[in-house]
Amino acid sequence: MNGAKFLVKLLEEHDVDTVFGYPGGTVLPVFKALYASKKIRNIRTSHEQGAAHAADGYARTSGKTGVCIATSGPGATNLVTGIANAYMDSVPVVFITANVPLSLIGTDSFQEVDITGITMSVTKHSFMVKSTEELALCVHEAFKIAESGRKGPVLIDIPKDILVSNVPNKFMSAQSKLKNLNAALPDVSQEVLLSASRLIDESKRPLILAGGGIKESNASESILALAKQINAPVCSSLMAVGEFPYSNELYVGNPGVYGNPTANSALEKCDLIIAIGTRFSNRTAIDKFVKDGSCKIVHIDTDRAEIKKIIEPDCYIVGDAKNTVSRLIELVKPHEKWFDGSVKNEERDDILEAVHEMFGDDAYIVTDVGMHQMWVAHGYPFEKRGRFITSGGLGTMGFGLGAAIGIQIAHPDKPVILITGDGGFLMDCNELATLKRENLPIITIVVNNGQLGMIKTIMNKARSSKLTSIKGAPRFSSLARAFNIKGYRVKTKSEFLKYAAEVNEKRIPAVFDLIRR
Amino acid sequence: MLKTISVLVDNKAGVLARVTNLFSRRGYNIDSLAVGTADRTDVSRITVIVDCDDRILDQIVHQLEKLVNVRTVKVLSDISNVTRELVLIKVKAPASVRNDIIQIAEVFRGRIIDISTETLTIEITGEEHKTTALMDMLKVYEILEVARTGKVALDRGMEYISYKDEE
Repeated sequence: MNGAKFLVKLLEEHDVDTVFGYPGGTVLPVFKALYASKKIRNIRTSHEQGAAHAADGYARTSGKTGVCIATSGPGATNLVTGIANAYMDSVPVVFITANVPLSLIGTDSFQEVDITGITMSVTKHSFMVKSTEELALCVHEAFKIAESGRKGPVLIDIPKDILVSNVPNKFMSAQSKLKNLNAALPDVSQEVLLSASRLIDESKRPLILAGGGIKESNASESILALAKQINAPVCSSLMAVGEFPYSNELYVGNPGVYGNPTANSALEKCDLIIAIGTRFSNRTAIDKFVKDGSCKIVHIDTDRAEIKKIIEPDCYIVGDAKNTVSRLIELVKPHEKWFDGSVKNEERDDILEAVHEMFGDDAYIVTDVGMHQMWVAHGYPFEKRGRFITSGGLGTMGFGLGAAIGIQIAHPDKPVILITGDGGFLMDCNELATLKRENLPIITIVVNNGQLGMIKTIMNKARSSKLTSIKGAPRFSSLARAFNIKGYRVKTKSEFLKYAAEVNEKRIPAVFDLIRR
Repeated sequence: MLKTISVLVDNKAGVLARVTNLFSRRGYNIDSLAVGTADRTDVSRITVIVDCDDRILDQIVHQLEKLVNVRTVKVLSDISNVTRELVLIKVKAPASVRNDIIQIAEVFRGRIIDISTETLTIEITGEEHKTTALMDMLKVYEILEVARTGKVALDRGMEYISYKDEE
């Protein structure tokens, strides 16, 4: 069995059922072996970046580790944005690249890059396989690292000669000698829980700020129970949007630079922030509320390195969110209600209601990056958790369509709606070809305002439109048709509903050019 | 404030790059760095001295602990450790001043390890103030070249890093 076939066998052992990728010279043996596999479905995208985001979207919604495969050189560098995106949002993806043969490594040979070096700071770890003997170990450890503790991407770079040479039987079984990665989480002591509960009891206006970490721990219900007990408004960082039912009266939205006014007003008034699974991103802009010392902080996170990175908390707990919060509920006293605002009273585009009406609570709502992303984060009436998929940490324009493809592959029977911007869609619309080829019934809504809205809010002061207008953009409805996909140019909710009903019934992909100028 | 951190890592290709990459990527300033195998051949010991406050030190330790190839990170005691650095100094030494230089080296417990008609090479170990004082004295005679190992350090007494925890 050659290295490539053995690699595919290892992937099958790790229960991989789908890989996303793009072939190329050095990686061809792997694709040859993949096509022969009966267990693994291979989704070829239009561009490696699309494949990386697809593996990311697949991992976010399937609970499994994503796998993405690309060739050496440009294939590998095209993955880098996708790898960094997965790293910033703690998504487990194993990226596999082929490289030039070992004898050519380091000689600047054709399509050679040092991808393990390039990705060092945007992966949890990167491997270069230097012999057939190491192959099994690297693959096992890559999955183990990606899936343990705070999850994230791992890269394996395999020179071509290892893919084509025979792997002796004795190298096929390998035992990982990695330090026990999950052992990093010790049990939370009662003492530290008591000091946290004391701070909560002493506060008059406690608030809960939840971040992306709560998803992994499935903590939203426990957090709402704690919130109810102490009558604390709950706000979510961008990464935790959708984890709390929009209809819940304690949910106040997403605070920060582009935040919901209700959430920001709650943050401004609170005297204690219980921060759970959040890393105090500068977008959440929490420092201004805590700098004067009028607001105390309890920080709960699984990653010890996030404690004190941005903010020095008054009390911190390194532990699992759900577990910790459940234990806290037993210790804290009930509080009076102190905050009245409701995010539901805020203004929002009626298209969000329309999408919800048409596709229901079960639909996965994917966004790209820009103003449309904020509109969705603030106004979409999510009821079921895990249905909002967005590029949070890296803010990757061009994330949306690739991610939507991965999600639709993971959930073939669920509606997947991509709400994107005209700027972002120009970056990834090449993946419409993948959508067509795989017949994925993704509904794309391009919020078309003819400008880069978020850049414009920054540029307004400079009164320049040179940087922000998207002159020369195509009619997105016509663009879709060029890919043999239904395209509609719509302005109103009723127009949208009419056509959406048609395509939804047929379960076919469609692009809506939603005019918002 | 200067802090001494011992980092025990897997003795594998590329591990030093991962550690130094972490420092540069997060903007921590390295004051001194020394690397060598430890008491086991599969383990390297990196001694790194960083100028930072307690919060950054806390960050450095926990960020380092996240690296897959890092086994143990320990901040050495500020008051109770032994730190040494070896310095080689090549100084211009024609016959007329040779004896003077040898005498100075002796005062600092330095050793002459190479001699030529025009030069002397002195080896000195010790804490920084000692090597600096010697170099100040030798400047008068023109220092031609200096090579430092970087500082290595251990805690005093029974305070040591054991491998027991990991096995």
